[in-house]
Amino acid sequence: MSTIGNITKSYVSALDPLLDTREINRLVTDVYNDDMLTDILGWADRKLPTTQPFYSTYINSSLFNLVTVNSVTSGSGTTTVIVVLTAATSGQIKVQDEVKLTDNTVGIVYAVSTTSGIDTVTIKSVAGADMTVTGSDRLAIFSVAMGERADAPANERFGVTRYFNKYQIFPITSEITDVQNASTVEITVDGSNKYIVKDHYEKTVKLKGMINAAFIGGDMSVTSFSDSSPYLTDQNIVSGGGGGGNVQTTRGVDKYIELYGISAAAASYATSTVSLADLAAMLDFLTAARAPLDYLVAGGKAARRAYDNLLKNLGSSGVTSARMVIDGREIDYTVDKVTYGGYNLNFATMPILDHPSLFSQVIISKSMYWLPYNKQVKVLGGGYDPAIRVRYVPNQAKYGNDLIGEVHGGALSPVNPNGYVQEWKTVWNTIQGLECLGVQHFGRQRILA
Amino acid sequence: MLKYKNLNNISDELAKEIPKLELGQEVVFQMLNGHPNNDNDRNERERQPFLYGKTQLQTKFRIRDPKSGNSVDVGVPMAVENDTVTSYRPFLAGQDDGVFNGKFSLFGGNQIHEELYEIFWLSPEREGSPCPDLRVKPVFKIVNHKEEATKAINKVDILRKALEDLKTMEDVHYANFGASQNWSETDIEFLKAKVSEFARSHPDKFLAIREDKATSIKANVKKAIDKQILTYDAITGDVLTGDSVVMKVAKDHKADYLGAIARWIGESKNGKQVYDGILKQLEN
Repeated sequence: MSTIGNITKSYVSALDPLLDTREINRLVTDVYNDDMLTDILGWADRKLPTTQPFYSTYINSSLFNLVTVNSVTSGSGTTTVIVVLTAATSGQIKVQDEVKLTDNTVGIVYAVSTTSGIDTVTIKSVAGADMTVTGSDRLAIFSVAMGERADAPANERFGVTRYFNKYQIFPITSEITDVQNASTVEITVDGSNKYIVKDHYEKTVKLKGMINAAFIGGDMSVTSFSDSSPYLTDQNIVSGGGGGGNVQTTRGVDKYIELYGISAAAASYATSTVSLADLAAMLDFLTAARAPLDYLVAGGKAARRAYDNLLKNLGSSGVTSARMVIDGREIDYTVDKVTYGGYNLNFATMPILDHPSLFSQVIISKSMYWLPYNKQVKVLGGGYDPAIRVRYVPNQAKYGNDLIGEVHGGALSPVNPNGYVQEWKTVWNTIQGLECLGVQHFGRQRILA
Repeated sequence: MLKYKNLNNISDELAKEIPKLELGQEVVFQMLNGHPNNDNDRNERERQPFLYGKTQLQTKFRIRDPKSGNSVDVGVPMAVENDTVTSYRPFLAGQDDGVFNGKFSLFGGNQIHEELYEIFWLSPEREGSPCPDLRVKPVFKIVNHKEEATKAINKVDILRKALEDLKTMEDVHYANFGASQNWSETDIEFLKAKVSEFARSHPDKFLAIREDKATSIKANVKKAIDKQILTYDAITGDVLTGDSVVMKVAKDHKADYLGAIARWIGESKNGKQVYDGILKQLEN
């Protein structure tokens, strides 16, 4: 049937709503930037397989120690003093040890008697000079001196301390039905207009993000896979006999530092400012921990800004921009290099610490992390080992890569069709844990309120 | 306490309350931010139940003077220019220790220690500070030796009581104790060793279990499950007698399903009937 009139937009639209094409930008705008959350994965690119879910490492103990005077029994201001050491520093000093007192005199240990684990020590001045000592003084056992035809000195034992962590099982699932898998959508991801492609892409990003976040903010579980009476058990009991097993979690860098490293705070963190004195304090702490001289100092943008305010306002601070290099490989972080007090500091930004949904409510996002640059620690006897690395169980599935297993199921799986349910299910599974060595040299410095 | 243009201008009343360190006096501080040692090795956990990281304590902060009601900046000065403090002395608890055991000391007669002591006494980071800050969780306390001694004595008393109770136990008590804890051991000698070790390492928990009326119920439920008088489905949480479901253990209580069943027996009428039936069948 014909009608008389102009062919207007309203005329065509009124004929049928499906006649008009739709004008849609096929690309989905990524406003969350979650694919940036790979900081630690990038830094900890060294990987070492583990055969057990609980892995340990040892550190040595100091060969030279200070002992603390708890009280002075007699003789301060004379050539022979008798002091009582604190319980914590008793058991380390022996006869003929040479000690440096806080008044810069040198003494030699003439007698040590131990009662209930507390040493009483007689020290004689080597030069005949009077020695002054008070409670709280810290004496350095710096050398030893024996007489002619001497017997062997008492033997010193140097122990080792064990540090440990557990790995964690990280899985993620993608599942789509026959109907939606056959449908197309208006948007495209990676050139495809299938929703499953978008889902696979996002699941990969999320899995990496979760691993990265656990390596930063996770804590080690009390439960191990070997526990007979576990505190944590898997509550995801769906069907088919899975679930109910023990659950392990891995300790992240932040908790490693809280337990074994240096947890510092700027004096004026309440006003989100950092001063040269705070920087100096951190360097003093590192020096006391016998740290290396090259550091990566990384944090979120706000914490980094506080340091920028300090460093870039210094007249001759010598701040230069450079690309971060790890093991001779340049990676995509711009760092500001500063040389101060004998330390080379490389300031960098960690995107994950800016994430509003991860660690913004806790100290992690309010801090700068001090990590040995180039991520290497010395090992006893010579050589180096990575300071941060991933311990992992090699992929046990048919598909995936060495680190991440990929399992397909469902009647519509293009890779491994099985069963009768008309769907395609993909599960990525990876077993990884963090291992940090020499965490005594790692630091966290709170900068923001 | 030394006052400066920009620091330590607290009221005289508050200043008088700050204890002074006597010459030679040692004050011990205990960190409160220890992390449970989750080592797989039980000996290691017992040797060092908590791990302490080296923690910088605040030596400059703002308090609300409880006497004057004014906000005041307080701290330990390190550098001073024209009576104005420009930097503050940092303090890292455990700095010189290889492995920090969570304790550090300050001594009277050492001026820096005396200044630190005054500030730590005021610090909101100290448990018991007169100037608490709701945003700040206490991370250390001053060790009260008398209180610690009382605690130590109480601990020994509890251990003594547990060991005395252990001596009164007969085989049936060991079996009930083990069953109530869902232990799988049935060999009585092995069980005795395990219960004895538990009494030594956790005397307070041991006594609580021994005194808990639910212990015998849990033990009987465990025996009933072992003899298939009751069936517990770990996946669904269902508890069955024969084919009929008598109760369902909630998801959150599955880790202690014996406790959940014992509570149900103690609190519901149906539970008591089921329990009576279990006892009769166990006797047969």
